[in-house]
Amino acid sequence: MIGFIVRRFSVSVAVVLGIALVSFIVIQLPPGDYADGYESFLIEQGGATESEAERQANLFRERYGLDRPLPIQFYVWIRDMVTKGSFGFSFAYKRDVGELIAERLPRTLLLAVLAHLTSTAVGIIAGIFVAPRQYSIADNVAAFIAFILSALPRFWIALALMFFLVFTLEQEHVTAFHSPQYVVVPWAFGSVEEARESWAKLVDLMQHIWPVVVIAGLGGVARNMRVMRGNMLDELNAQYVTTARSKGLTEGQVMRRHAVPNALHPIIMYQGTVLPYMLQGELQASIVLGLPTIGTLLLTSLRNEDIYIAASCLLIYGVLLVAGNLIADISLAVLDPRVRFS
Amino acid sequence: MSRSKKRTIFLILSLLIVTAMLVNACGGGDSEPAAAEAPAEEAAPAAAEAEEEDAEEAMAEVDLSPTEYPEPQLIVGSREVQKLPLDQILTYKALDSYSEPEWVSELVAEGVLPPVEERLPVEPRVILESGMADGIGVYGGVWRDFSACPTEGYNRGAGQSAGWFGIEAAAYASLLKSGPIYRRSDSLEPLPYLAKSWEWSEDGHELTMSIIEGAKWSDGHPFTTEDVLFSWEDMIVDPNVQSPKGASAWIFEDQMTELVVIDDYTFKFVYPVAFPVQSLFQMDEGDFHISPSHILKPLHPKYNSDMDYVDFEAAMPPDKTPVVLGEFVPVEYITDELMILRRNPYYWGVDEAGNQLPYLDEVVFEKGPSGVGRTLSTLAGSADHSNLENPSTFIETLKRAEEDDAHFYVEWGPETLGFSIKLNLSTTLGVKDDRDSAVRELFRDLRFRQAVSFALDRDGISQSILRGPFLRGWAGGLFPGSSYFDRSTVAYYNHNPEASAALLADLGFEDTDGDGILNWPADRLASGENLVLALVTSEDAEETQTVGDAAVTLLGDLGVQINVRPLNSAARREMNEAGEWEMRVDRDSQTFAVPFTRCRELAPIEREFSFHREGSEPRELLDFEQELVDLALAFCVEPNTDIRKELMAEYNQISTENVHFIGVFVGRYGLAAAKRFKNVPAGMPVFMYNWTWENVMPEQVWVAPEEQIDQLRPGVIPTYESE
Repeated sequence: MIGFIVRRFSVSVAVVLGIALVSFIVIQLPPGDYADGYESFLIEQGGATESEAERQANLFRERYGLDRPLPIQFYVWIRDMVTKGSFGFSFAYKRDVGELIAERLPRTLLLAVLAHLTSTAVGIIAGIFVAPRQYSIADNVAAFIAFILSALPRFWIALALMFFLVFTLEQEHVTAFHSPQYVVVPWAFGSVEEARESWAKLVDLMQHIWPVVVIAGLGGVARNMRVMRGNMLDELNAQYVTTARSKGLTEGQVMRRHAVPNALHPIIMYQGTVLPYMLQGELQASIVLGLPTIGTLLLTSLRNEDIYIAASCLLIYGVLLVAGNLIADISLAVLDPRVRFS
Repeated sequence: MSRSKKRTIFLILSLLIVTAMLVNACGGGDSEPAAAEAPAEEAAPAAAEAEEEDAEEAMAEVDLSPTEYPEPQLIVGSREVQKLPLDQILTYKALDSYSEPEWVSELVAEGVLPPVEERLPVEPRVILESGMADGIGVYGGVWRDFSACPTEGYNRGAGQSAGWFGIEAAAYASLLKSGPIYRRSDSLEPLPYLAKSWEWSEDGHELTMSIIEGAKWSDGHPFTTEDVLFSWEDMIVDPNVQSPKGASAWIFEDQMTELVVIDDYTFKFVYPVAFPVQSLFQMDEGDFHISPSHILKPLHPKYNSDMDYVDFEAAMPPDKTPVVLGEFVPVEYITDELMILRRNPYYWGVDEAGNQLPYLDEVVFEKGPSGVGRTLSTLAGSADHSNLENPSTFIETLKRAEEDDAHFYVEWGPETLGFSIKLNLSTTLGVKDDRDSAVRELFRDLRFRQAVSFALDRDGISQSILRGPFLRGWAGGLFPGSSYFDRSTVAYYNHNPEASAALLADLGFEDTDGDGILNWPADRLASGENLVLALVTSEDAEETQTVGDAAVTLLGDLGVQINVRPLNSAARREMNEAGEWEMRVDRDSQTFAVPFTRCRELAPIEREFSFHREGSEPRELLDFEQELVDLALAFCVEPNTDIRKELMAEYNQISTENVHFIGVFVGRYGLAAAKRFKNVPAGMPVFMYNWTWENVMPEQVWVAPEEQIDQLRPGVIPTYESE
């Protein structure tokens, strides 16, 4: 067993290194580098002459190591990550990439978890509701809506919703987590007044993030609903359910005590590997709505070739995916005696 | 008939057909074309003569003269700028008494601040009531804005960005100010700012400047020529510092300008050439950043061996209140969310009644990932200002502005938003083969440039981008919104497909193979080939792609095949440097709006000139290009505004007559600004010499008490830890 875990872990490390290398190479593929954008900016906005801008761009490359060969840049990035825990330096923010990601990770995860909970809760409830009503109008309507929500591109729903928010509801501060008056309020619960302010800040937060949660969440309803519906149908036709009914239990009791708990197993098992997909779900909606999450950071860094941010974000997504799979593998190995370790 | 018989007959027939085709292709058909070719060869001179005659006749019939460039259409919401001489806009003088907001007086009473008289200079900068749109204002209020760039830090002199979008304009100060030049009627020179006056020596080699006496930094430290010298020697001139504009802007005829300090409040520039008046524009906002010597000098690697240039650049981090000279001071910054700026209690400007400026107490910049966020926030009511610079947002913004409850209005500035097609005029750079040479020679022929210009349906293109009176055709040359523009000098070769076709025929182009595309004439290097040209558009400017698509259709109708390739700005830059492009669509820079600030970009003076770049071989300027160079060089050093206007009139005439480049359309930048703001100058351009925040003079903007909205940090002034 331990040997199996060690083997899987070693493979995962190699995969993560591979992801790091591929991300780093892919980011370098577009022509030019960050200093080129800086050079254009100096000419177009700063009014510098082309030769002056070129001199400044070269100075920039030299200062931040962009003039070094790619393998050296990659080695330095990995070395600093391993030895100093540093993810590199952002050219646009002039800050450590790790700090930037750390600032955005909690709220990114918050959005992802809320969206995931929405899709799971709505999916399960809808699944439980439609399973006993197989092929009824309710079943078909629920399936139709869920698949439409799943099929519509999330960026499109985000655009439509943003238009609606700005032009119809005239909601202010659509591209922020908080209204300005709450950005400066700290989260604190020391006194009644502080708790009241923090509560108001929480309400304000919810007013701002619901579009992303709804867009990212409803897109995943179809999968959960269909899985739950299928499981429920299996369980409802199982012999032990017939036994339960024959004992004289009401249909509600049969559902609550027997069918639903057993039908939930596959969905609960699925939670272990779901993190990367959750993050992807919020990514599109956050980018369109301009919320400061890791998704928008990744997009802007890809655009302006702020390579260490982009590579670190991709690496983190990769690590989450690999870690999720590793945990799932190990859990399955622990729980399921049929898994062989060799 | 049996199936096998059918198959046999089918096979025989197929064989016959294939044989006939082979015979025809490989030799059987030879005699006819040969017979046809022979008389053609004999008849060639006669036919060519006939064609030439036809072309000449066609040329004679077609009107090739330029048309008159029309007057602009008036747009609702455009107002005339009220131009005034400088002495009606501002002055520097001592007043009998000074005042400040009540809450600041309370801080004075508490001993947190010295009295206002001690904080102000001997002769503060006085904004005159005669120059104010709504008169002397009242204190209080907030300006809510939006920034879509990260804040790197506040060491602007070392190239760090505070987040643009107006943050720099609100927080920093320079020797002179170019933004409000559009308001001047007496001159087109920058306005005095920290430097209150200047004088040229008789020989024009020395410029002596007096800075405002007794002004203080936002921490109360005196501002003197020590700061100017530090900003010059250790920031601008030091090659290791990434100052916004480096030393190269101060080199004339290969010699460097010198700065000599005379006393605490006087210094002089010593120039290697006489009267380089254009250098006044190197002293304005964004170019000559004044850095706080008392903060940065001890951290400069030249004076501190523990520091390197990377550490020095980061010496004014975004989470620490910076010491500045501007109207507002950034006191709080939450990465990618919000920046709060509060009034600078040491700001060195007042109104005529002695009220210390600014009137507003607070400026808040929300942060977002894209500039569109500013327009969205303005439409939604959470921002007080947006620059309308992207035509695709014009209609929605106008619709919203027309609603009764809209909190903002829209005003259109002068026509300074132009798009054009450039042709690569270099004969050598990026030329790889005979075809490339032929293409460049073609581009250097006036008839071809005129043909392209005549082919463009500018009104159609303008309307396809944005319906309504927002955009219209442009001939090239100066923007119609420039102060130097004179409509009578424009040679406008507007849409006239017949003229275009006649010019192409005159150049010898003819569709000889009947495929709908013109073929190169026999006497050119690309003889016989189809006339196919590559046109590069920009991925970052949607309108360039519309122009590209229009060029494909309009020139295609005349038999010129255009292949369009959109590129991002980095790829375009590489392409330009290598000279490996033929035609490209540009969103033009402000060179054609404010030519004096960028006079060396008007013509191929620098080796890197936009569309006639010099490579390893010397550049061959066309005669008219040389005339443009001579005019631009004379313009750069001409101190008299009237003579400068005459030079630009001549420049514009030569540029448009020779179709130096092909203007397509021109539009206006729009300003969306809160209705509650008072003293925003009428007709203020969003972008002229500079952007809105510099143009508006934010210190004079005020809001009536009943319209003021809540401040995020009421009663706060910038504070600094004592070292």
